[in-house]
Amino acid sequence: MKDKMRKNNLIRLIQSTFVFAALIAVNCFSTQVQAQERNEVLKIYNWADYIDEDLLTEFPVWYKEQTGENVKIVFQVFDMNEVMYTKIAMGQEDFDLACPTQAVMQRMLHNDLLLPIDQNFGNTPNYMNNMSPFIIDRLDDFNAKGKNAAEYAIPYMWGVSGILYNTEKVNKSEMQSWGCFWDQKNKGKMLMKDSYWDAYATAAVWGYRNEIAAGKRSVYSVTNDHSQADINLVEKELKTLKPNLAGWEADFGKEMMTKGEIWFCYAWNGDAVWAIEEAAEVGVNLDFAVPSEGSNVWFDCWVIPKYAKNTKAANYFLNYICRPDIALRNMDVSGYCSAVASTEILEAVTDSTLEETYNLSYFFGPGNDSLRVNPVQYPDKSVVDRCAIINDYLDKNDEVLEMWSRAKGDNLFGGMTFMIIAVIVLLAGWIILRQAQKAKSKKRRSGRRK
Amino acid sequence: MANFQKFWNQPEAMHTFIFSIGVAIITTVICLVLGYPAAYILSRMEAKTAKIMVLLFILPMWVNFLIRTLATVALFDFLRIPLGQGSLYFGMVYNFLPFMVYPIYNSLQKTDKSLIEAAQDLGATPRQVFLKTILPLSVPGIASGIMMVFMPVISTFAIAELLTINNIKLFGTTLQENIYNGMWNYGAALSLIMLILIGLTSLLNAEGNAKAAEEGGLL
Amino acid sequence: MKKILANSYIGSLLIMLYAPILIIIIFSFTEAKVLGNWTGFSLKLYTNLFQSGVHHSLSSALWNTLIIGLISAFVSMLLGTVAAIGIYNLKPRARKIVQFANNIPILNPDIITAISLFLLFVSLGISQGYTTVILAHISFCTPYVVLSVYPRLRMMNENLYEAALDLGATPFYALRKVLLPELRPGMISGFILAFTLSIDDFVVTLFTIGNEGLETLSTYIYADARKGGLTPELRPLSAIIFITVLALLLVINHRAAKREQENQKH
Repeated sequence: MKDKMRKNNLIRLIQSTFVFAALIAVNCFSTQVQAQERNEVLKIYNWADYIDEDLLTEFPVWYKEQTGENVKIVFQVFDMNEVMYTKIAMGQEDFDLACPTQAVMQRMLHNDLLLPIDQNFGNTPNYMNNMSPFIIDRLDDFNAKGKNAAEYAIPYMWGVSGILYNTEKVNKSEMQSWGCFWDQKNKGKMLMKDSYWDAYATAAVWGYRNEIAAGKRSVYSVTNDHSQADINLVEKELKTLKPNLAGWEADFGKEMMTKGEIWFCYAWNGDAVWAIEEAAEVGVNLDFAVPSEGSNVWFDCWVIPKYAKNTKAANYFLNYICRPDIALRNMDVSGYCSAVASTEILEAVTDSTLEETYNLSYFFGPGNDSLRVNPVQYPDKSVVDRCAIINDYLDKNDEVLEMWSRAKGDNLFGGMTFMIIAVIVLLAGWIILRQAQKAKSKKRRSGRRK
Repeated sequence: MANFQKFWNQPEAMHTFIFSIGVAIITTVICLVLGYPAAYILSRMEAKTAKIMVLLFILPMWVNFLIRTLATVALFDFLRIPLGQGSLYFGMVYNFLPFMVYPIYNSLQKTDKSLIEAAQDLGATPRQVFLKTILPLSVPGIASGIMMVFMPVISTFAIAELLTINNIKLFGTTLQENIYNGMWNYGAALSLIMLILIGLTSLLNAEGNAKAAEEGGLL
Repeated sequence: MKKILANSYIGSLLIMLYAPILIIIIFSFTEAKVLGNWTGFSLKLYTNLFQSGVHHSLSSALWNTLIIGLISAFVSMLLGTVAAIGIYNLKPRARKIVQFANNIPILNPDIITAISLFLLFVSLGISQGYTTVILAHISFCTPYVVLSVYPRLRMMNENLYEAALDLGATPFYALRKVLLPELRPGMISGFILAFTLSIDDFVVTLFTIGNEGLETLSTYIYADARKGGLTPELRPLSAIIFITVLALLLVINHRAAKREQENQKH
């Protein structure tokens, strides 16, 4: 029977191998067919809910008007910078456009994974000049190996980090300092982001607050120097922070805030806008503050990865999204602030019912120092002045990562170790017992034969 | 080799690994304790009802994992139980219980009824019937169940992340952090260590169990 | 008495398993964006679901998930059964080795499987998309099928097959009429297990999904959760899927029971 079964197996195995080979062949064939039209496809790799999806059908129409060529957009979403980076760096995926956060963009630039952006648009007006100089200047920080970052990235959305807090549970004045995270009386009532960039920056600013206040170091240097002394101090601060926290949230912090059990958490201002609105619907009052010691500014930007195959359409797309009306639509959908600073946007975000005015001349240009806008969405100049942009760790990445896992600590406690050892001992004993039984019964059997 | 040395030198990673093994052991034991009786009861039912019931155990897994876990968080909020070790074990057992019940049910169901009857005819008490006949025959199912629960628990990170707000760090989280942040080699080394250690244990276990099935049942 | 105890035990386990699902269903009737907040009874999320244009990529994601799940489950069921039969017939030493090899995908963390498959497909030059996702799913679902079918083989009476051959059946006929019916419960449970794993999988799918815009339900949900919080429409979607499958199950069971009753009458 076994021989016949084996024969059947062989036949089945051959059949399945054929099926697989056929599948692979079909796939390769279909890619050949697609390759012909590759220069009529634009592959975009973006975060979810970060762009108005109607644009994906409107852009080809605009592109046809401007250049007379056809294009079809293929849209792929990613959920984490790291996945996007891995796919492009390791998988050489041929995305034409990707949207990394600024630190990851720097890493990509440093590792030669980007192509320059071509601003020759012929007769089409160049909307990229609408970018706020505030953001464009920040790009200079990321110049690497003689490459001007401003030629490789187009900022998309930007924001600041701060504290989202429940006005009924904590005082507004407390929230003006990062110290509230380290304060024992708030134990178990706050969340920090589970991101080694944000945690490092926060701990560094808090650890060096005296030096920053005295003017000896700047928020920027504290966040980005990554010297050994800095890393050690950050580790120390994070270790004191950990027992105080309710946890390290990854995505659902703002949602937990709307439920009212957490009193405050580290948040980006775009998330804060969303959370304040949503919480108001359930009767929870939230507000957002950027501590006085300093914080960080971030932005997501569009880049053209190295393996892109349709750079022409990519460049035109980047131009397209810098158009003020398009930027406005994207702002609505994503809830964040566009890096585009034009009068149309200014008009759209001004809310004349607001009482206080804020200085936004850093963003919209001189003469805009008393605007009525949502201060959470568009921070006042005083806020932005004390925020620095986070750079990538580059060479220090491994070290910081090790520090990060050390700081987050482990949970092993005596009882657990004891239990594990007990289980291992029991298992070993059981196996030895079995072997002994086997030997005994073998002896018995061989004895019987005689 | 440098990566392996690194693991050795980092007490934190080692501790996380050992802790995860501990969590996995506890989860497996809970699943076994809860799942075996369930599988046994199901195998005693009529075939038709039993089939539906088993499918009912699997059905929750068809709702997407993230939504399910968030709903568990909401459940705990609703019951005013704080998230922590308790919710971690609940979440783990919740996700892996069907994997334990299924194989045990399969092997129990296939047990030749005549063997049980024979044991009873030979004068065995119900307890003896169970311990000496049914239990050993179901050992392959138990082995499968343990395998499908133990290892995946060590490498799951999402449950720990969501149900303990990242307070409890499992080995899967370490692995994910390293791989996502570019330390591929270290992550690969970590997973290899895990594979070797657990593979050894499961090999030994499987041998022991196979012997038990042959000797305990059919002699 | 014993029966009541037994049934209540199963019942309480099921209640524990279904409590979170119940929460999803309850909260699908409110408009709150966050699961757990109640802003009053409302059917708006349900109507949003059925209006096209609100989440047009959600329906394609769902469709992809189903197709990928069915195909991978079916193929892994075939492959797994064949493999289990093969393993059963090996000599003990070889059997142990193959069994260990079979268990590796189960023992491996899914992120390792994901990345290694990703690198494999990249180095083979296979453009990623539907095919790669299905292949990847098959490769990690098959071991589970083997684990479902193999215990059945062990418990099976070997002589049945030989008896069939002695009675003059061809090996293929014996396979179909004797072996497969014996294994069928294992194969079906393997199929269901593989399908369940496939539709819920995230990491492996994420890395083999390519760049043509393919999405499955898992990748859609995770990507959504990162930026804007979990789309509230997913709650009614899950509720609908769940209730549909449950209803289908009950209907099938009812009809099968009825058919059996009729058969018994004759």
